[in-house]
Amino acid sequence: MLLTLIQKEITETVLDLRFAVTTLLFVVFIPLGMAVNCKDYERRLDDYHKEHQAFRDQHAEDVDMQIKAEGFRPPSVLSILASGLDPFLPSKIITSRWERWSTQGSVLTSNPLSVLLGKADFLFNMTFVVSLAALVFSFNAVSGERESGTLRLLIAHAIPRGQILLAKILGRMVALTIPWSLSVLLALIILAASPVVSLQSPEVWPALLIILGVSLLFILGMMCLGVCISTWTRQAMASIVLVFLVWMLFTVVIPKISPLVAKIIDPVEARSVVDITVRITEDDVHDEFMQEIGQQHKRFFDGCGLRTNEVGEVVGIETEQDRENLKKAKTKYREEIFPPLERKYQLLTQEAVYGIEQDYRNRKNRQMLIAKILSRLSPVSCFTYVVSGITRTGLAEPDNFLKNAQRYQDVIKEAIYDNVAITIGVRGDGPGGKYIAGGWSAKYTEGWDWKNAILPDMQYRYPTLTETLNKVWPDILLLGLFDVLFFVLAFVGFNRYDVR
Amino acid sequence: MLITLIRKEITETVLDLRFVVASLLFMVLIPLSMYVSRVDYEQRLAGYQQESRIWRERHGTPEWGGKDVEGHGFRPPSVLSIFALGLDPYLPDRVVTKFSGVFQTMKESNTDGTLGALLGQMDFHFCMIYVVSLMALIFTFNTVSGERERGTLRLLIAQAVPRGQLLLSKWVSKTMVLLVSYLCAVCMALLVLEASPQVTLVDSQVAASIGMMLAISLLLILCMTSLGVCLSTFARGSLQSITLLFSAWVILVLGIPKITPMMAEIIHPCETRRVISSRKAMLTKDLMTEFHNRRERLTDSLLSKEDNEDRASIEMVLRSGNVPTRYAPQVDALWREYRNRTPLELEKIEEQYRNQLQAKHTLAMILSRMSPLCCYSYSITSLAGTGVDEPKNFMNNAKRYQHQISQLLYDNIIIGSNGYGWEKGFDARQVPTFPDMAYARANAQQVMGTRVFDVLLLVVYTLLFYSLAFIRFVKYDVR
Repeated sequence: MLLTLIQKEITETVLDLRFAVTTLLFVVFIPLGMAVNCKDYERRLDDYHKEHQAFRDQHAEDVDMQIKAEGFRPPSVLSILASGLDPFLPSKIITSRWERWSTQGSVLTSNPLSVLLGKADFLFNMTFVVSLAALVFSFNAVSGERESGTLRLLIAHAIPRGQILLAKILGRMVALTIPWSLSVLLALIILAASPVVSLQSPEVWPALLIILGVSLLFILGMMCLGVCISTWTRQAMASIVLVFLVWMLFTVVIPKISPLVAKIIDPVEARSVVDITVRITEDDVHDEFMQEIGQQHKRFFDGCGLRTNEVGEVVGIETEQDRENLKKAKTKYREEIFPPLERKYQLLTQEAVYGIEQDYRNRKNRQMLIAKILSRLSPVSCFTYVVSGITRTGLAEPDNFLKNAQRYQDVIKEAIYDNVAITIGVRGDGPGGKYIAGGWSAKYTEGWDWKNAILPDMQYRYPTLTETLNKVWPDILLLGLFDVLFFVLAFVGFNRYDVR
Repeated sequence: MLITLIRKEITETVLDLRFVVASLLFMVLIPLSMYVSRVDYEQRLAGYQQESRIWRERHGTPEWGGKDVEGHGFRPPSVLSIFALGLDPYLPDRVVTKFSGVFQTMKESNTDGTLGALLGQMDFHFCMIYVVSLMALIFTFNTVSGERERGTLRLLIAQAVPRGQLLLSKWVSKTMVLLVSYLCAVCMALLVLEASPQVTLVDSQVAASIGMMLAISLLLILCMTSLGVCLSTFARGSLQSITLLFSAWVILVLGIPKITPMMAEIIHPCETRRVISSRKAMLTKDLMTEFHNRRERLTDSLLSKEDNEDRASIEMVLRSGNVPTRYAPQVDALWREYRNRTPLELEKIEEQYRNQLQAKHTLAMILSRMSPLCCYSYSITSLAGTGVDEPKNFMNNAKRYQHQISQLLYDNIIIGSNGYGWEKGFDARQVPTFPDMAYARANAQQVMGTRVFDVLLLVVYTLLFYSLAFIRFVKYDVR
């Protein structure tokens, strides 16, 4: 009996005008969005290669001890499906010998129009177009039938109400899945045609399958929600108003308001303020370092029986003996006095900066957690978290970028910076008699020649699918729970429905 | 008669569920989004003030000596970006002037506002595009078809009232009711804005821009309600109307605005900014190499004319990488030539790129204007100072700042006998501080000058939808 009912629902839905319109919209939007984002990805990839190559060409032989190596972030293949945070992430990291590494974002996108008007990728199409279509498909499943008077006759049959409801949901779901699958298939064909994407790669197909599975779960949820609304209203007109209200609540209001509410509940200062604090701290520690090294320098050379003037320069070298002494003292200073001091202050800087950063990150994370929990009131946000997580453009990506950046800085430190010990000279003629940097001398590790040094490339590592799934499973579970909740609500509503 | 009809329609609409829902949504969303955008603006403003103050304290006075004196100019956030954030998060936030004449723009890469970025920002502009436009359509989608379904249209038509009047009364009354709840929400939002210590609405410039934004927003509402009425004349029943509404809204709000830039990109592909930047960097490097080679040749040729006595001492100076005093004028002339040439050459690349982009933009903008929502977006974001013209405006401001600093400092740099130095008689310490970057934005009148076409197009769309509705309604089969 259930099958007959489902068949009837499918036939009815397919013959409706809504089916034709939805099919048309899906078939145009989803493949077109895929084509355009595929092109966009190809260009981003090309840019990445070009830029990487340009940097490598420039520095193939030209490695010096202070080099600021640049590591580039390759775009993720899956960002074709959901660009997510990709445009907001920095495109490269620049290592530094003296300071913390820095990142650079791409400024002034070449296509401000698409930024202004938004991008239509698969995720966007799912959350805005498909979800609305699912609701439009199901909003009058019960109330509409009551209005046309057929519900009364249907209920008069010896079929449990639960079965009727199930048939309605499943029938409409199947009917919606037809145009959806068709358009997804077209989109996948377009994706497969791209020279830079291979669907068979183990990086792509499992992720794609999961995304499509989660999408179906999401569509089912929306379908149940539509039917649920129709069981709680008496007329199709009321249903449609309610449907639009709920849709707006789920896609627009909750996802967009929750970060703002979190900002108000738990305010954290702007990033630029933290950057400034870090910069000031670094400068202060550097200044302190200069003063201490200046004093030590003076004390050391004075202790070696050499005379220094008021700015700390060794003076009065006249005899051969003096020269010999100076040479010895300089070597001793370079090897024994300077390095421990340098290390001490490096550690101090790192600790101070790390402390500020960590504190800021903790507070920011707490704020984000509040926002995330609030936004999970809507299945649309859960769906967004899952898909953007799997496509590696989600909330975990900024942290992943920072980790990669730190790793690259360590690699460069080991390969280049650690092989050159640099001793900074100091002079006491800064403003107010302060010590400032004045020249430097370098000493290479024995057997290491920077002319033959090779700059290592950044090996950017994206999280694997398993790692991502470990993070996003609560959202998948929540999506399932939403489906169940909406179904149960629909069931309760329908069982108590007055069919007259 | 018209007034009676309008009164009847108003009563009907006000008693409808839709009115309650729309009022609720407007009253919650518009003031809330205004509040949040205001807080966001205050944060951005504080960040800007703090950053420029700290920079001024630490580096505000040009240091003596080196050529690497950099002036930093900061871009203040636009007050009206509270209404439409637009391109603001993507614009660079500072200009760093260089003595080579090629300024750099910088943007702190911000990985912290992640959730907001992922889920999207909600400001007044967003509310208008997504919420108000949809509500306007929902208000009107079954104006004619719904009444036909219930059978009341037949009785109405039987009266001695012209069909045009009937349609007009329906459109006017629904629009009026919608406007009442919308204007209440906007008033609340403006009160929220006025409460901010950083924003003054009485400023004539700000007030003029806000007034225009509101006027254009009203025009958009008129346009969307006439579209809704028009759709209802194309359908025979409410269900059909709903389907039409759904597809029209998706196409106008989601389809055309998002797909046309991509189509323009495919039709007219452009290189990206990153490639252009690296090309510019390479050119600068090449020019510097060329300069060094020419300098070497110049000194060589000058050296060959020297007496044997002088030659040895001059060669020694040259070998240490310095310029002998007697060659300084020639080398300096060469240097000045390159200093003027570099920005010009770079400007050429930039110009070429800009032309490419311009062609693509024009195409995308023309295509996207098929949707009235795009016309609305262009005019509102331009008024807010965060529109499509803003990147260009930023560049102009940056250029002006670079020029200002050049006049103040860099033009006084010469190549002296030992490297770069200040011109004789010029004392960098006498330049007390770097000037602030005076960031100029177009005022409301200027913006309207460039965006008048979009506003006109909105009017044309309204008239078009209404005339279509009129024609359809006159021919409508009321049975």
